[in-house]
Amino acid sequence: MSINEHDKVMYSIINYMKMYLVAVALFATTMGLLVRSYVAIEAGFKISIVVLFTIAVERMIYTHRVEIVSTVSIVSIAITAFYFIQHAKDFIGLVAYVMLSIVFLIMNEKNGRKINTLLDIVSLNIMLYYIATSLFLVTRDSLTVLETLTIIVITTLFVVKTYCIKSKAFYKVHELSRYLIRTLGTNIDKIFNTLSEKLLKNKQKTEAISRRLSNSVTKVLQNLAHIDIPFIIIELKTIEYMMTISKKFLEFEKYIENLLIKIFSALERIQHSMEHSFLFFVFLMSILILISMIFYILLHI
Amino acid sequence: MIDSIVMRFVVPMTLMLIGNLFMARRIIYGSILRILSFLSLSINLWREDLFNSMLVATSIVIGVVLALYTTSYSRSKYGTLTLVPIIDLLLLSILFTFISRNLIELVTFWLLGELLGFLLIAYDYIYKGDTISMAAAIKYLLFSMVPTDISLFILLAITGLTEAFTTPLKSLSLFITDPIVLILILFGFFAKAAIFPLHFWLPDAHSVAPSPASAILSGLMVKMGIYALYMLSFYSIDRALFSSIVLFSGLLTTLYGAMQASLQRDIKRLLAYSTTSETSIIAVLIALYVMSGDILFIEASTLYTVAHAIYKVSMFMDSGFIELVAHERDIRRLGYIYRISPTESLATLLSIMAVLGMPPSIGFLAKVFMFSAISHNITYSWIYVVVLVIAAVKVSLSIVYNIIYFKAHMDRREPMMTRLGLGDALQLQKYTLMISISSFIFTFTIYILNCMRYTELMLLRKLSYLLIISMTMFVALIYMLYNLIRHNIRS
Repeated sequence: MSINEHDKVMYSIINYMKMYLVAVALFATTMGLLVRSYVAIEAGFKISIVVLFTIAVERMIYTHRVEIVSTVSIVSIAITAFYFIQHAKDFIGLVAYVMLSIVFLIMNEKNGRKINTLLDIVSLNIMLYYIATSLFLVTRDSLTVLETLTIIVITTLFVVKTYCIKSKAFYKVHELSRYLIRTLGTNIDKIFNTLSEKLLKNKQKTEAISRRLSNSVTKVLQNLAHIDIPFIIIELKTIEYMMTISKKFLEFEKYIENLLIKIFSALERIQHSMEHSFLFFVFLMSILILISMIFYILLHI
Repeated sequence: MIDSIVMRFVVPMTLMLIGNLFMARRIIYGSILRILSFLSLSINLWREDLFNSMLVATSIVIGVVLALYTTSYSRSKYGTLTLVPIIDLLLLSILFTFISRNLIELVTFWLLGELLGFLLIAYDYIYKGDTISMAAAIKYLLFSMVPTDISLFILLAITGLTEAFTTPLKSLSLFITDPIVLILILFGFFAKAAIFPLHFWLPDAHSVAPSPASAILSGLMVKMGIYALYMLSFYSIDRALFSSIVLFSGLLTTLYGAMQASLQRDIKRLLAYSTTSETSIIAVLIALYVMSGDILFIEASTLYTVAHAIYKVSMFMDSGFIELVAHERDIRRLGYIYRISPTESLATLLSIMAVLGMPPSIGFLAKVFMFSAISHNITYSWIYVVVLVIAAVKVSLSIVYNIIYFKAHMDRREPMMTRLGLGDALQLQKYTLMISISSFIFTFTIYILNCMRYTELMLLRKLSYLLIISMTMFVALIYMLYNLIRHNIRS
């Protein structure tokens, strides 16, 4: 068998396994939600972590320590938060959820790096299970409508942000929203104008009020129709801000990495000295025991 | 009849000895007898203690596979079968330790196992004068054997000889009231389980021993320390002190071992460091059981013990295969094993994924039980939050070091054909695959037993439909993978 054929075999093996894992994870989560079993959702979450492993193996990553630090921090936060949210009630749960979404959001903004694709996939997997968990929590612990809505809005924003930011779909969503606002605005404007004309025919007194109302509504709707301009500015500002934070994160990661290397070398030194000191300690102890035994025997003769 | 010493110790030992005598002339008959010696111990499986039964079952499965593996390994690496009887004896002595009914039996077989462990670590020194092996063996003697033996003798002294000979292990009236005595005993067992501060002997010892020996030392022997910690939970001890010490040392080693494993580039040292991390998390689960009394922690530690034992044995078997085939242990110079043997790479991948939590493996159950146990108690104390955070970091680090390990298999490198030593080594791949798949068979067996008679592992019932579906899908997956590999071998 040639080398290329071996490559194909190995990649096929990994793909089969990935397919199997994704299928079982989806099944577990879906069933978990349907039969309201938290253990099943948990199982789905566990499987998503194994999926991460297969992806990493397939892409042959983890050549740099920075990548390791990033991934470790993300997965650790994900696991901790998953179980924390499970028990946090009402407001704390909500805050934790929001914080977590923000962390993932920032992590996802690290564009142009090798692990970006992996991070996206990790987020994708984990987010799916967060959504499932949130839904489950909402139905189980009967959170208030406001909290439910907040969770749904944040989740939707996150999903849109994660999947659409770099694609045409994001701009299509913009266009669609602009079209909807314009159509809605024009129609409401027409309705108001017709209404005011009808009122004018019947009652002269209401003329001024209705005209004023109509004008103000038109103004508001005109503003609404151009809402996309400030929205895009906010969006660009957010991206800029996120990129700055991302750079800061990178610096922070490098700092942590250096710190870890220092700690490890110190630990190695401690371990080395410990081995010798322990040996010395054992030696001293045995002498001490021996002397005590001699004294004991001498005193009891 | 089943409880008699003849059935428990004499029959397996005789079968093993006769089997080894046959090995010189008729390897097949010898191997069958050796396998029978391990299988004859399965009469001890039906015990009321879940932890103990699972340990015995795992040791039997590992024993059977390693009996076959060691024959091929010893012949390929050393050209003789001298390694085989020592490995068999070590396996039997560990199994005898786990099936011991009273303290004196436990101490006797424990000591025998330790001595054989010493011999195996120093095997390369005995065989070819490798001084590094001897240094590692002495380190093991000083920092693992001596402290553990002190603990055992303290226990024996407290118990008294009459009781040590007659009373069943769990019913011993042991009152360890003095905190210093408890600390001494704990440190002794920490040395066996390679938990801080007596963890440093393990990476050297496990990385220099022959691969089947490393597999036993890492997969089963460190579990003796865990077993001892578990047994201590039945006696009158200062529970707060016990849990505080084990939690502190265990959590520290969990992080330290996992971080060190992530930085290693020698396949065997990586595995050795990961052993300290994994064993420590099992000890932490036992400490949490002692602290809370929640049986879920014991169930989690039982499953984790089995999962880790199978994982570590298969990984060390794989490292033996790599050593024989590539004559290299540095991951940076490997990365082509999948081009030599896709079956071996598949087996390793299955083992890693099983321990990371691929359903329906025993590792998956262990992870679900562990995190469920922690999260059930998280509202009671901040300690559970700390454990949760450290366990989460450990899981993420385990992903990292397993990927680093797998780079030895798959890193798109060209094999150095001049250095390859295939020969008998390719025989080993089927044994690695066997042990990898056993992780999934274990879940199936446990599930069936749970449905039939076991009252423990109640959480399994909640996972019923998931296990059934994943088992069915897994069978289909294996069938597809088998066809894929077979088709490629033919072509």
